[in-house]
Amino acid sequence: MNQPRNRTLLFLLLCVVCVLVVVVFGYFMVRKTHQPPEVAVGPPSTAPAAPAPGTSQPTPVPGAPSSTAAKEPNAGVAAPPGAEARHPVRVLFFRANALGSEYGKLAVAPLDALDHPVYSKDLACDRVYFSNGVGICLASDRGVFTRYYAVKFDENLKGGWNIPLNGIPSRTRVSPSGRLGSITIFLSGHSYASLNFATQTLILDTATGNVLADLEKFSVTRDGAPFQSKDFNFWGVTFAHDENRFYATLWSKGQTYLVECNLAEKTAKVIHQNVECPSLSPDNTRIGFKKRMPGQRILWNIHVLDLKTMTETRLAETRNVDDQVEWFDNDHLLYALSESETGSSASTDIWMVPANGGGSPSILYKGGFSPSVALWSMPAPPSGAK
Amino acid sequence: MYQLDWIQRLRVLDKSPAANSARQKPLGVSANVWRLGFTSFFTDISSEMVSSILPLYFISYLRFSPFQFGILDGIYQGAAVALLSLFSGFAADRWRRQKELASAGYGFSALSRLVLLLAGGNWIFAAATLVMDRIGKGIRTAPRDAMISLSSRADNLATAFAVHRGLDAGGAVFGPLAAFLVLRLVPGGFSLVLAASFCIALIGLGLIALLVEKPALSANTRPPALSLSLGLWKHPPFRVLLICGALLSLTTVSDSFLYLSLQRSTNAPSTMFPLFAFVTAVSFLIFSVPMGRLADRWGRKKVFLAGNGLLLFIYAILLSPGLGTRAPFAILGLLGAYYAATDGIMAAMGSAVLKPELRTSGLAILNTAISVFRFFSSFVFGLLWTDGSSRPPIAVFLAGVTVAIIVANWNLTRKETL
Repeated sequence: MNQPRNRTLLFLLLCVVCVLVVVVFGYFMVRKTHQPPEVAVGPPSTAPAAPAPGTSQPTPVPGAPSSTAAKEPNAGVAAPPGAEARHPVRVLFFRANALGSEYGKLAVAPLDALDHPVYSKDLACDRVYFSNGVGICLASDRGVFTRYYAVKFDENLKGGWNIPLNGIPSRTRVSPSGRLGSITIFLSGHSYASLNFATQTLILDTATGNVLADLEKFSVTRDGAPFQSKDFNFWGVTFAHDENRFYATLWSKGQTYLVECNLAEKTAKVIHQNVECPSLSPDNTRIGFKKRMPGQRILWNIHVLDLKTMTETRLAETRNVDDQVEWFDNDHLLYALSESETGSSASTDIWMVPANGGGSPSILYKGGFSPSVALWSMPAPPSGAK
Repeated sequence: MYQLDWIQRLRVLDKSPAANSARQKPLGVSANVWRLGFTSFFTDISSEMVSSILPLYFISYLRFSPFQFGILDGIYQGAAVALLSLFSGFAADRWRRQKELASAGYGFSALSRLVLLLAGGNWIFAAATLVMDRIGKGIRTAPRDAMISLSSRADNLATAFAVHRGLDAGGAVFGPLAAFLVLRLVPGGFSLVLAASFCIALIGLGLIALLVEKPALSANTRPPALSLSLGLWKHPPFRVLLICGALLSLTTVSDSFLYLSLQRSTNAPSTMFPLFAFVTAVSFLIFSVPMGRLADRWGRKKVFLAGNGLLLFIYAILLSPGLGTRAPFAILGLLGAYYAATDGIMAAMGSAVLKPELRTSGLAILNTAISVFRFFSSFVFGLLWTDGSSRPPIAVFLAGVTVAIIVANWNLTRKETL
């Protein structure tokens, strides 16, 4: 008769063990996340060892207090930048994507010192882009009900305006001058409901965060004739130098098109087929994109389209790339790939491949995602550092 | 006085575990049912904790197009799991192993959390574990429902199921809250959420494995042959119920489509979907026990058909022009009440017409029919939803549910079995 009692005891024991396991696990997690002090915006603490990009900073103070480091550059922005000889350097902006305490954070690293990234203290981004002093970070706030929003940030990686998004963030770009921004989100697509799989692509004024245009409102033409369909979806914008022309993907009835858009006139013109996530080269002559290869399995390979001759070149990367590629310079492209071969790991690396179809891919940065290359003036150390 | 009496009774009961059927707890529902209810409660907390932090990655990391994901979702929910559930129901009757099969189902779900925890950032594993969780659900549902009915008095069946379904909905309410709480305490602590989820699932599993007693089936009846399980549909009262259940499922819009129509007609962001599910669960939790008691008192058929009437009401509201911002919550409240008045009561009506030794098989057939027809209904709804307006399919479903209620009312009355 005391078998039930034993079982009750056993059950209580199980409960106690389970609660203990969770508490201990939680305790160690809290301790782990608190151990490494947050790297504040400013020179990395290992800066003396690294080739300091701004040579006019003779002795950066290692481990400068974060609060002052963050405060001072704000004042620096109010004054014209570069007042105190802060040379802009070429840097890589990205989302830190190696599993660990910095996972998901906005990061920036000088191209000549990629081993020493600086992490944003308060911005974590699903997607990030930076150009001419203006950055856009698409972020999510995971809780009971996950919220998504777009945040503007400046050279100091400080957040500016913040607008809520209606769906899962997918792509973002900033125009060369920094005036325009674009955001693509998945409006819906959660389950069977995905019959209405839909994206929304918006063009923003980065100064205010106001929406300038919704691509679905553009009048589209194809071979000179109006082209219209209720099922239009747009995604993946890339801006040209003139701050008016941009390119994007248009999807309709299972087919993707490359459209050239005119922001002032709100028009779009189909110029090519089977192009997804275009990315215009810095010299504005070519477009790098992912092309869906024939076959049952989804396989996207990177191609480059010459806008003058309209010829495509397949690049040396043969693996599946589901990313909007980014130009490293006029001869190389960047993209993110999963760390594991199956493409299923949450951790990704940033790869580089020559744009002429030759060479072979190589890793530029381990543990990164959503890369963009820009000129950046690293915030100076506190003025009293001398 | 009442309270004292209640505690007294508990004490006495705890000391005489042998007389299982006589052990009555609050609401006149036996301890076994409460324990099964809490098993579901913990298991559901566990799975909702995970699903509130997971699903987005299926599209962004696994490169599933939303459409592929929808198909997969439909297949494993609608067809594969339904078949498995049928098999598990027949096996449980054949071998008299309701408890073992139900425990195995819960075990499967608990195991899937462990795999998820150990898989780290591997999202293919993450997808696989969701399928595993579904399989576990398929295995356990019919045996567990049979155990609930076999541990309850005939006049109290609907209340017993209501207690179980209410606790189950409670899991869906507290799961996302628990995940939120953990992430508040430990920002970025996704692995802690998974660990907690596994431990909570383990508590649920421990509850059924250690404390739930096997239902008392009379030992001298022989275990039924498979042919008897397969031939159940010939049994008139059961057949009527099966047909009515299937017919009403066919005219029930799936949750995701309902949420989608709501989102479309009120211009709410699609990020509201989890909130929609949460509100539905809260309403289900609130209405479950009152509906169950009402069913036992006034008649299960009446409450069941009234519940389907709520669906009619929901469709009518959706069709009316100019929904305000509060309308979604009224509709979701009604949806929760609809589930409260139909889900558990259907199981109770099924149990009432099935012989104990064939009960698991019968309930499995009933569940399978309902889920297959629900899948079918989603399919039809999707086909009708052509130009981005959900009005045509809703109008068709409104007409459909009206006909189904009339047919069901007539048929269920004719057979004086319920």
